[in-house]
This record gives sequence, structure tokens and C-alpha cells, in this order.
Amino acid sequence: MKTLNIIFIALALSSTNIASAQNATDIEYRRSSLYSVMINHTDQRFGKEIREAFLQMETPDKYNNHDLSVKILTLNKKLEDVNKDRENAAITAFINNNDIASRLVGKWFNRDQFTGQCDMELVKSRGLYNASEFDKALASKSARTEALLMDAGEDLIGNTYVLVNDIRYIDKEKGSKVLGSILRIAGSVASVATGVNFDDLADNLGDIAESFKGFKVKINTFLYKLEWDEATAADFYRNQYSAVPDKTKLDNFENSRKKYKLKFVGKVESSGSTTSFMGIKEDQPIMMVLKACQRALDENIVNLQNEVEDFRTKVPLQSVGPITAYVGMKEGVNEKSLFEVLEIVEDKNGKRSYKRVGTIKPNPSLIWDNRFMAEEEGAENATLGYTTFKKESGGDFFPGMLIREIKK
Amino acid sequence: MKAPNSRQKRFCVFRLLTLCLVSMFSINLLAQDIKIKVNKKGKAGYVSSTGKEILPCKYDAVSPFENGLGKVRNGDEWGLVDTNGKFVIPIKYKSIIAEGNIFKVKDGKKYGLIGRNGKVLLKPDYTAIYPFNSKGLAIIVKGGKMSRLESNNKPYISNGKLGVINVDGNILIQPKYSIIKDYNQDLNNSKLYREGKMTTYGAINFLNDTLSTDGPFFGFNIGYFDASGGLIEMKSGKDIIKQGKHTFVLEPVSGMARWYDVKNKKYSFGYYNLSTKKDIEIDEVKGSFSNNTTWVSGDFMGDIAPVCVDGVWKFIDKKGKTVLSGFENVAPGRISGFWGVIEKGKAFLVDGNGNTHWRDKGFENIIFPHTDDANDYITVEKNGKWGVVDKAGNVKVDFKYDRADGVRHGWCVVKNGEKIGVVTVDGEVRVPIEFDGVVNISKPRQRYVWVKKGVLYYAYDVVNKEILGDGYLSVDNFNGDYAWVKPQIMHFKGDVINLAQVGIEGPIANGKKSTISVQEQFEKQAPFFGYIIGKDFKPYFAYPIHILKMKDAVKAIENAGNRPLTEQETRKAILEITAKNRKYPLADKIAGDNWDY
Repeated sequence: MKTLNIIFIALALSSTNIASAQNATDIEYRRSSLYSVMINHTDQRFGKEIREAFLQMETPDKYNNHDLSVKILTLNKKLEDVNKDRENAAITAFINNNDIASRLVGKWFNRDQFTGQCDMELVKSRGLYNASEFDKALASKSARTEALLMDAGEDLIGNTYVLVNDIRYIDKEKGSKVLGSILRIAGSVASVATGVNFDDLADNLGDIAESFKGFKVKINTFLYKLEWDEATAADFYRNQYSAVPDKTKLDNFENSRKKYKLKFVGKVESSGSTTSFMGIKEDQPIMMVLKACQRALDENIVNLQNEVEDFRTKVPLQSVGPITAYVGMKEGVNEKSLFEVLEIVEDKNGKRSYKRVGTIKPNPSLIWDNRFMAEEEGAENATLGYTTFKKESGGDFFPGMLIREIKK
Repeated sequence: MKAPNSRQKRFCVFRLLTLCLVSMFSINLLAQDIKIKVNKKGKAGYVSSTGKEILPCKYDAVSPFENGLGKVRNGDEWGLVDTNGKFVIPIKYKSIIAEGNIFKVKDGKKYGLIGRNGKVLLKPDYTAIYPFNSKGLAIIVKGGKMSRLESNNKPYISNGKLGVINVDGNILIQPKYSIIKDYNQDLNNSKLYREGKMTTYGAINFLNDTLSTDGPFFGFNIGYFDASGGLIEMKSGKDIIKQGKHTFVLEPVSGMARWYDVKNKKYSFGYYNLSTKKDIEIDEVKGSFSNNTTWVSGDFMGDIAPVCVDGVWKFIDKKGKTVLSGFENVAPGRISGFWGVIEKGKAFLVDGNGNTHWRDKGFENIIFPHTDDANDYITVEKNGKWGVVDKAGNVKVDFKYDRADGVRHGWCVVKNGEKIGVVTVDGEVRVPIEFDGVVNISKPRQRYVWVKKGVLYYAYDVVNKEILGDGYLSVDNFNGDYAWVKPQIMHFKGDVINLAQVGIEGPIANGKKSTISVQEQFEKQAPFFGYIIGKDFKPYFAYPIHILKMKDAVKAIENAGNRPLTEQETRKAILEITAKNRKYPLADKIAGDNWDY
């Protein structure tokens, strides 16, 4: 057994040049993978703008983007039982009816739906494996192969999540429902003939720009986790994975789609507070919608991390003198936060595990405000670039060791 | 006091310029360095990069500095400060929106304009000010009611009176018109670059549109539902043709505005001379509209215009006097700068001064060129055979074809019997005359020409002189290395993706056949969907793609290294192309081909 400290020491930064060196020497680390989908309320004002903003939102940087091609689900009424803190029947039905779990697995292996051909490129890159060693180990069909696949399974594929976000604009003008009309139909017909979207002729972003008071959305986020156990993995690698086109394995996977499962693991609701227009340029009112949605979603992700231990992100220490890491208020860091410091341990077959070696707390005056557009709105500490911590317990820490928040 | 000598004058100018440059630089530098600051009570202000207070933190919100000015809000009202923290526009407006170098402000429910120095350019007295176009012109609306479309909640104004302003806040056209028609042609008969999306502003106004450019004339109507129109001159803002004088007024060309009247079962037509300010009535017909043959007449080119009275064509001058007459037909040839006319079976040219050309050539018909680069070539018929001549009348393509089209990019489509081919203006055969049709030439020296055999189109290689590839039901010329074609059979799996390409959800065809015949039903429902092929005539994008999305499909092909995409790659590309427009009811089981894995 060996620890991986040495490789991280090589990447260590001096405490004085951390900010400037930030981009050049970002430490790679394994992240969970995320597929985000939204429920878009077509009965509401700004439904289109919210949809547009959601499509512009990037996967949070502590996660890998594991999006599928379906991103927008529509509903022309309030989602039933949306306020209840439990699994939602309509959302779970969507996930099951559409075999989402199997599609997430397919994406992990870049599976060709027409030939069944798969590859391990995504596993290799997200697992930070040495490509040639990985290929060698895979080809050897030895205990090492099994360990590698198990490692990838547990640490990568098993940490694949689906976020279903029910986003509603908080409308003060009750009854301003969006209805279908002749004009809408006329526009649609014109679009087919000309390819020009009728809606482009006008927009209601001017409404947002003119109000300049703020914009409010409420997001209910439902979190699901991909179930990837030894038996599932064994069946997949044996009967469904093929590096070349293979009709039998193609059919095997298609016939097994229902066997893949996503498990409901948590649900949170954003506070619905008003997002100010501070920092938004007037010619980009869509940024207001984006800011409101992004802030609410970030808030939900933090709350979900608090509820669901597996969903918590692990990020590397960037320096140890002082102790710094690229986490901040966006990830919910506050003066009460406590983080465990984890050492990565790799066994002789390359399987990794994490061992706690100490704890750290943020310096209350040096918590980075990395919330979306915090810098533009002049927030205090928005330009820090990282959060500085102080040691609470433990021995020596090294850059590259991972930290994970302990539940508040 | 002594007057400054030239050296002193130059020095003064230099000092002034230096001062200007220094102050401009200082302002820019300072504006970049100014940051928003929010205190612990949540109140905002500005500080310099060194922490020096520019504006105290006592406001509800401030915006990032743009062009040396920052927007500051208290409650529902906004103002503007400069880099010294001095208010240029006091906090009193409901909104302040930058329009280039000036600001559109909203006071209560009315809009006005304020300059960078805080000077009011246009009093806030207008229901709407449209965005300025690149020439600094915008529509203004006075009175009326702002409402919203029920369909999409977007704003429009009804019953407002429309006018036009410039960026200095000067009213060029008084806001007294219900409808303004944005003409798009100048006095030299050139079409102006079009910026705006609409050409008529009135009953429903989309408030983010701009005027076309700076056309010198506008048409107008005082009321929404009256059929009478008028003409305004932009420069003076005056009515040139007063409302009610004529039923329809068209865009002026060569200083003459064509008009038509429908009054008391009488149909008349004429021109208004912008120089003499006089109307010329050309003809009046009483009784049934079917008796009316005058309405096919044309605009002026140079000093004359062709008009048709009682089925006979003639040319009139700007006073209405007949210059030439007795023609059976007239065809305009803008590119060549002539009219083609037919008189007693003989065809010849008439120029803008009323001079005739080629009377003695014995031509029987004339077709003008279609492209500007072919303006010297005119296709003509002589003794029942067609050829091409230059403007001087010199024969360029011999008269040996049964029919010929106008010249495009130096090539001419010709026909003998029922067969069609292509020749150059030097008379060389580019495509042999043995096909049932030829797709128009779209660029000079085109390598592949689409030819029709039966109902199908094939690529003809003009270099190797051979037919290549399969036959297609519909084709578009090659654009770079790829062309859009509609094959005889397209593999069409699914029901939503294709329409999402043009922003529409919903099934595109009946049922969910895995293969669909274009000729049967797909043809009617989606005529603009086809495949993308390469110059090896293999399908590179073998999935129905809208012709307007060809660029996106080609991008996917290029990203894959310019090779035919696999089915999986094609599916992923089409899903990517349609990402913005695809949405699915939560309760639905989404068809498999909407998923990338």
C-alpha cells in the first residue's frame, strides 16, 4: 500500500504565489458526475427566459457534466406534492419510464446505440488513470483488472447523480398565465416555412431590465443516485460491454435497460429570496434570470450535500502554508464549517480509498465569496480566489490531499 | 491684444488635443478601476481600486460602471453618477437604459432621452422610444396604450401616434401617424441595407425593432383602418402627399412616387413628381375592377416609366407626356440599365432617357441577365432561335437554341427540343444539351451542375464531363464541400426532432415509420428536410435536416474530421442542434431517438 502524497508534493505551491499560479497548476481530482434536468412551467411568465437561462447554466465546477440530451421537461401546472420533503411520484415515474439509469451508464462507456460498441475513455479521464497503464491493466484480465474496474465503479460510476429541478418564477402578478393563441400558431407556421422563430420578433426581457429591482425564483431539487453494485457491474462488463460492434451485446444492454436503477436520496427547496440586479449589465437582462436560477440551484446543491453524505464534494488542498482550497460561499462554506482532511490511499492494484488525517476550519474573515456574479456585484471577499483555513486537528497536510465538509 | 500667430495657434491646438486625450484616458482608466462596494447593512456605493470612496454606501443598488458612468438606485428610482461620484442624472427615473451614448429614461410611464452630460434631449413625454438604428434614428410613440400579447405576454402599443427622432432628440417626423411604412430605397434606386425586422409600424409594434436604415421617405396612415396613405419626407418631416389624397402610395423611385386610387367605383393610377410637387394621372377606369389594366405599370428608371393603358404599353416622362408608345410588352432590366420592349413582334432596348437601341437588329425577344457580374450580356431571340449578345449587340453565343435563359455568372441555360444544357457566354458547352432540367447556376465557375433526368436530379461534373452519384428528388448547389439533397427515401426515425430544428414541437409525420417515402407524405409536410452529401456524393449526414440547419450539420461533420457521421454521431449532432427547442411533457415516455445514450 502506498500513499499518493509524493505526487501531490510535486504540485505544491508556495503560499505567496497561489493566486497567480491558480490556473496553471490546478490539481486534478475525481469529481462526482451530474445530470441536471429542469421542469419548466409553461403556465408562467418568463417560462421561456428561465428555460434559456437553465440551458446556459454550467455544471457546478466540483462535478463532472454527465448531461443527457433531454434537459427540459414541461408542466403547465404546479407539480403535485412539490413542497413535500419526499420522493415525487411524477419525477420518479419520468426517471423509470425513460430508463434514465441505463442512459447514464451508456454515457459512461460512450455506448453506440446502433452497434453496441463501447469504450473506457471517459472512465480513464475522469478516474485520472494513466492511460497506457490502464489499458495494460485492462488487457491483463487479472486481479488488477478487477480492482481497477471496482475502483472505477465505486468511486466514479457509483457517484453519478441526477438533479431534477422544478423551477418556478415567483410571480406577484397573479393570473398572468401564458395562454396559447392564434398568434402563437401563426408564429409556428411561419417558423416551419422560414426557419425564423416568431418569438424573436419581440421579447419580454425588457420587463426584467426595466424593473431592475430583482428577480425571484423558487427551485425544488430532487436528487437521485445511480445504483452501481458489483453484480450490476459484473453483468455489464460480461454481457453488455464490447469494444467492437456486437449485436448480441447490443441487444443484451437494450433488454437490460430496466435493470439499471436510480435511487431517490434527497430533496430540498430554495429559500426563494430575491436576487438583486447588482452586477447585471442592462443590455443582458437574461443574466438576471441566470443569476437568480444559478444562486438558487447552488443553494440547493449545498443543502443536498448537507443532507446526503455521498453527494458531498471532495476538493484538494491547494496549499498548506497557509491552508487554502478553491471552495467558498457557493459551496456553503461559513464560519461554522468543519472539514475533514483525507489522504488518498491506493492499494497494489490501484484501487483508491480515503483516510481521514485531520480537520480544518475556515478563517471567518477569509472565506471566498465565489457565488455566481459575486465579484460583479461588489461582494466582500469576492476577489480572494480561495478560502483560507486553520488546522483544528491532525498531523502534516500536503497539497492535493482532499477535504470534505463534515455535516453542519 | 495681439492675435496669435500660426505657430501659437498650432501649439494651442496641440495642447487642447493633449488635454483631451489625457482626460479621456484618465476617465477610462478610472472607470475601469472603480468597484462596487456593499457595506454590512447591504447598502451599495463605489470605491476606487485603492479603497478610496467615490460614492458612499448609502444606496439600494449600483451597477458596474459602463462608459464612465454608473447607475445608482434608491427605492424604485435610478440616477447616473460619473467617475467622481457626481450625479449626472439625479435619482428620479423609473429606468435608465443606455442607447449608445445617450440614455433612455422613464419618468412615471413616459420615456424621454438624456445626454451623457445630463442634458434633457427629449422630454419624457412618450409611451415608447424604439431602439435607435445604426443611422441614429428611432420611432417614437405618443399617447396610446401599452398592452401585452395574450400569447406570449410581450408588449405592444395600440392607438399611439408614431413619429421619428434622431439621437440628438430632434423630432424629424412629428408623432401624428397611426402607421408608418418604412421604405427601403433611396433616390438612386438602390436598396438600402435593412436592419429592422418590420417595415410597417402601427397596430402591433414590437418594441425591440429598429427602423430599416435612413430611407429618405416614409409612407403613413393617419387611421388604422382607413385605406388611404400618404408620404412624408424624412429630411423636412413634412407631408409630401397628404393623407387622404390617394388610396395607396408606393415608395418613390427616381423622384417619382407611384400612386393608386380606388374611389367611387373608379380606379385611377399615376405618379407624384417630388420635384414639381405635382400629380400626374395616367389613366382612370370606371366600373368593374376587371376592366382595369393600368395597375401593372412600373416605376421610373431615369426620366421615363413604362405604363400600360388599355393593354398597350408606352413610356411617359416626368410630366406625364408620352415619349414612346405602341409596345406589346415591356420588361425591366435593372442590371443592364434598359427596358426591353416588343413592338410589332420586334424586340429592342429603351434606355432611361427614352432612346431606343437595336431597332435594326431584328430581335424577337429579350431576356436580361440575372446576376450583376453578367450585366454586359443579354439573351435574345432571332428568327426563332436564341443566343446571347453584348450590350453593343455583338453576338457572343450563336443563335442556335430553341430557348435560352438570362445569363448567370457568365453561363446560360439553353434548350433544344425538350433537352436542356448549359453554355458559357463564349459559346462553349458546359453541360451537354441532353437533360430534362438544370438547377440555376449559383456561383462563378461551378464544378458541379445539378441536372434533371425524369424526376430526379444528378450532379454533372463540368470538368470530367460525367454524371456522378445518385438521383435526388430535390437539391441545393454545393456550398463549400457539402450540398443539401433530398434523397428518394430518407430514414426517418421518430417524430419530434425534425420540427425542433425550426423551433416547433410535435409530430412531423403520421405514425412512426422507420422509413418514410418523401413522395407520399413527408413531401407535403416537410419539404425542406434532406441529407447532407459530400463531393464524393456519399451521405455525410444521413438524417433529415432542415435546409436552414445545413451549417450546423456541416459543423458536426467537420468536427468528426470531414468524414461521414455514424448513426450515433448523427443522432448526437441532431440532438445538439435541436437542444434549445426540445422540451417534453414531464408525464410522457420520450421516444428513444430523443436520447443520446
